[in-house]
Amino acid sequence: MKRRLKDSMYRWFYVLPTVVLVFFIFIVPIIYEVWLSFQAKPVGGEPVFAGLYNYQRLLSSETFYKTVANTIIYSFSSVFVKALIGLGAALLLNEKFWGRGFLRGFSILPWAFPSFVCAVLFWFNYDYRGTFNTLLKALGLQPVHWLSYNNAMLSVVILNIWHGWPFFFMGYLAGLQAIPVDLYEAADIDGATALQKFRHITLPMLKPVILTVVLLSLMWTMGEFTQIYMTTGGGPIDATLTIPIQTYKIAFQTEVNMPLAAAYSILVLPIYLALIYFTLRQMGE
Amino acid sequence: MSEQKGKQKSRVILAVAIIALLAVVGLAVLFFVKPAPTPAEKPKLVIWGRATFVPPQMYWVEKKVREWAAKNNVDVEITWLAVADIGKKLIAAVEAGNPPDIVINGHPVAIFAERGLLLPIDDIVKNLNESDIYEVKLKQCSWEGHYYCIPTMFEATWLHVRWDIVEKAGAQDLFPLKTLDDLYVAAKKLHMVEPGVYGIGLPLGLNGYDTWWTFQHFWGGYGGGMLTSRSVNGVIMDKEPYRSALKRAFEIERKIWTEGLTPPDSDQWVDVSNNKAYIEGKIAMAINPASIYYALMTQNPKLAAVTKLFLLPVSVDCGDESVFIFKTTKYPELAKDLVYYLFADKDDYRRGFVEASALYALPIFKSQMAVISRDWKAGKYLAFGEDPAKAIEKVKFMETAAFPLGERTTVSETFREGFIWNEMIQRAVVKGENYDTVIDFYAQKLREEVKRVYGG
Repeated sequence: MKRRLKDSMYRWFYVLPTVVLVFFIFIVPIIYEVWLSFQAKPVGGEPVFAGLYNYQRLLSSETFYKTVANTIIYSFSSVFVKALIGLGAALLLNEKFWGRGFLRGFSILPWAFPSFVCAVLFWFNYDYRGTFNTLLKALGLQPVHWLSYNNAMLSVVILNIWHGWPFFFMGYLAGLQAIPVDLYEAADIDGATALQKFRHITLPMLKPVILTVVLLSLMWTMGEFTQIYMTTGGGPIDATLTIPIQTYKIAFQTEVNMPLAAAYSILVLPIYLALIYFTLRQMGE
Repeated sequence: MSEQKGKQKSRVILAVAIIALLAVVGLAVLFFVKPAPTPAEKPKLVIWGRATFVPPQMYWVEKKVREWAAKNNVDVEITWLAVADIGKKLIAAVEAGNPPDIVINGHPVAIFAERGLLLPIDDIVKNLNESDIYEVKLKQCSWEGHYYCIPTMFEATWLHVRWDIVEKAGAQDLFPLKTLDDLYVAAKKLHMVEPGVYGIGLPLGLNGYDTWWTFQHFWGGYGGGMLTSRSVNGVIMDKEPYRSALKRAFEIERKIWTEGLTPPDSDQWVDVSNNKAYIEGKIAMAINPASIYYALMTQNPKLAAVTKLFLLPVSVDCGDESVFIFKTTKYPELAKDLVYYLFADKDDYRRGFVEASALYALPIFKSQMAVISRDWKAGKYLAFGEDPAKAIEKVKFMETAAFPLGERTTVSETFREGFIWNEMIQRAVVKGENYDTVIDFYAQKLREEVKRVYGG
């Protein structure tokens, strides 16, 4: 008993520096943010306790629900497509063929670019006289207003897919390479088709990787700021207004209201915490 | 062996404990202990400037500040920030309790002045001869009987016109435009006279200030208004006759948009887009401060030669850039002295800040405007189809001031800074939503914000 206590004390001593750092750079700001969300505070002024006022304001505003809906549409649709493309590419590049090494390296390229570079790149692509419309014209098709109200969400989703699919590809490829070959050999002997092998061997064996990668990407995509801010700024009107963009706007642009922005963050925190919880549980398994 | 292990363990634990203790002490020192200033230290002023589209203006400011610093044995640290960044960075700095000492050519102002965060500078204004500064500019910097900033310039809007296309269309008689409605007529007349050249470049994007102040010409010009006082009752945009004026403003922009007289991607434009479209020869007209003309002279002299600048019946002053001092400065008198020094030599200010910008900036001093006007009459500024002094007379609105109130307010600044007006414009003009529904929605939003900032 004594020894176990001693052991756990040792462990705590080892992680103490990290705990201290995490407390100051992570826990303290969160506590401050929660406290701030219950205040009313003008720029540079003293905070005054306002109870649930900020939360009432948010929950009774249409914009809040619109941003939550936009965030869900944006993140889930792009993660879904990234997962599919990543899986397809991983399956393809797991096969042996000439030039496979080059293609694997080349596929990772979009992910190597920082977010803001991708945003600038697509700014030029989405321009009315930009790359995409030039291609469409060359194919005899009508040019598209990529960043107009009706198309803006699709455009930022495409940008996010382009930037993020290699992450899925790499994760899946690592997972595929960890599947024992003899499982496939046994299935071949049993006369299984390619589809059956995929359904009964590949997918079940890849499931932990898929879940982990999907959950991680979902967290990142829900928190994506740079790509949207630099291409549409959350517009036109509110077409691509997501939680991170709206939080930033409330804090620095539309109201300069830090407590309201804090309340915004706190309100959506459970969504992110749930994702973190499932991700950690998945990784643990 | 096990004894050695035990010793090693103890050492590790001791080391970890010491590191943790040091970390805690270090952080505590960082948070709670402020170093006492040494009495002999050289004073230092931290200055933030808003980068302008006209580099010579920045060179002039740098030169003046360095000159002053050398004369007074003061250290200065100047940081130039992008137009889109300065507001947010100032807000963040104020929230963190660490704003700069002085802001040159920056904005917003009301949001800080109304919170009592700025130093009153009545004495500087007085020393610069108050009566020599245009009243409209003084009003932009006064709150409750005190001056809190000095505007750096007038940034009047001009109609840039491709005169070669005008001649081709035989539309010379239209200019200068007599009414705001004539803008639509002119756009229609000049549209596609040259293949691929649109009649006008009308900014309609969400993320650009141009969308807002271009619309302000019509909203204000047709007799509309947003605020008459800093109170809920002061919100007038949805009351007659202001509502009708706003609907009329929506209508003229919607006609230009739906009839395709402006490029089809205008609804995605940012501030630089109309400049770019004009410089690249894609539009026949652009409403903008003379920064387009300045860029033409340096980037496309051929096009500059066939460009004429006219005033619209109403001009909007986009010159919200100002010089102001935060109360938190350790050296208020030095800061004031530097601000005074920037403007004291008015001829130097005219030459270095105004003339060097090819009249993108117009002076805030009447005495210097008289010089510009005299030079224009002598044929110095050929591209300007009208006397620049007239521009000042036609300035009826200011980009960040509530109108008809005529003063900068926290609400008018945040609605502009947050692109809330742009959102309204997009809904009515681009999306074609019912005008009354849009007006009701944003009037309500404005009332809520007024109530939040100023109380009932």
